[in-house]
Amino acid sequence: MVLTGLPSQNVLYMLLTVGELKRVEGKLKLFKLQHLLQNEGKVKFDQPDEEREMGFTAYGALDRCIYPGYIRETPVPSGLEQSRCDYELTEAGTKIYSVFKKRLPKKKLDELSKLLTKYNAMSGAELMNYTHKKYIDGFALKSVAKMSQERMESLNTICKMMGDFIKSTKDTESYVMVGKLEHVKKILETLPKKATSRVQAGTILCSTKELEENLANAGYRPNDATEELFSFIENYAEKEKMVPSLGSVDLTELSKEDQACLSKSLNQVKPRLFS
Amino acid sequence: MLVEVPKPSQTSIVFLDTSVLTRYLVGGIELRGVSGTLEKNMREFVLQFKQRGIVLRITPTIRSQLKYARDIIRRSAMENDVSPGAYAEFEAKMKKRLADLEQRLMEVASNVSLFVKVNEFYEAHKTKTDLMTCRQKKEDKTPIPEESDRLILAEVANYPEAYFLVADCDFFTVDEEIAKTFRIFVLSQENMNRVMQKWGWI
Repeated sequence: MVLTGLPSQNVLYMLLTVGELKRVEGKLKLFKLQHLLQNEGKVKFDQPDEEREMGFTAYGALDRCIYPGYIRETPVPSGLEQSRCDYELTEAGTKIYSVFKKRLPKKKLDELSKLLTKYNAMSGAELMNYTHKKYIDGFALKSVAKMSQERMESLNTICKMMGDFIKSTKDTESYVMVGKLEHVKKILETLPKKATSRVQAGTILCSTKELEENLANAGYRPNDATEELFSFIENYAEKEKMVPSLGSVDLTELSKEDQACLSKSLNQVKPRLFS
Repeated sequence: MLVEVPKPSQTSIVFLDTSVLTRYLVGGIELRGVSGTLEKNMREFVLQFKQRGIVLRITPTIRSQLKYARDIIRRSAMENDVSPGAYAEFEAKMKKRLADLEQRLMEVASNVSLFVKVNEFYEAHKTKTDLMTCRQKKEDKTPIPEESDRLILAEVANYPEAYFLVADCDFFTVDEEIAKTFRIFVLSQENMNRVMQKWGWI
């Protein structure tokens, strides 16, 4: 269906949501209803309402409804620091909505209206739990594999750079940090399989990015902040049952080669710590 | 003649020397061709004391050796191409074991006023066959143990009737003599099974 002279589908369905319900209480509810139109109402948006790094596309659609004056946003004092906002169509919004409504098949409109009324009975928080559990976690987890891969590639580059630095300087702190970054790579490798929610995956991915940025800002030298970030990632991955923390495995589980190298190096330690 | 080692009580003073402590911490990695069984027994020995709530003590010299051990080990591992991943695993394991042990590990205040007496002691026994073999094995030119080892014995000797858990032949090859001169009971791989059996610990 091509609607010449009308706004985008994302904007039109947001107008439909508010128009059918007359008033939507809260931004959270509005966004989740929008999400359900796509997932359960099988509505096709110009831009699918899916998770992006910077949030959901619905944020942009709401802005494009408010600034031209199609939707009125009214803050409702709640006694809390952040007040709730309610949404209603303006006169201009109602006009556009009427045109759009006429162009929708009656059956489809009834179906969407029924769906919106059903979910409008739920609170914003209830809707959030429902949509996150049913759709968003699944959505986000699809992209976890891709994002984990990106982080792993970035860590590979960092490890290589630090490896060159270690060769020339014999810096032991950097040597151990490279070992710790290897552990973070292990966590990222298992993330697509082990993460059970977008919160879990996001925590690891964001903290890893922060760790990389911190290392870059410090000229790839480990410091207190990088140690703290590593500890956080390590402990979080263990707590969430993704990967056990460093030092959890029995040393006899290390590869024979690593064991032999370690044994050789310990036996060469001077002054003698083991004799 | 074997030294009679009395059964320790909860208030006994028990020292660990650096080699026992580091062996305990790196347990699982083979050292100087020593059999895994010996390493395991040494570890078991430390655990037996720990389980009985007996506080394990170290001297200031041992603490200082331990403090520098990490960097020395790191350097050696780097030089021997231990992969960073394996090393990070190894170091974290050591750290965990030390944290676990530190609940029952205490550094004692000690002095080295007995250092002269210890020097005289080793001078007097430097021709003892076992001690000489031990020094030769270590490829040391001198028949006298390193200064740090002599300092540690001088610190431990401040506490007569103390137990001294060692893995270093500079101590256990002269255990009888140490018992006679300083009234210190040396416990090592040489006598641990025998004494543990006698005490009814195994």
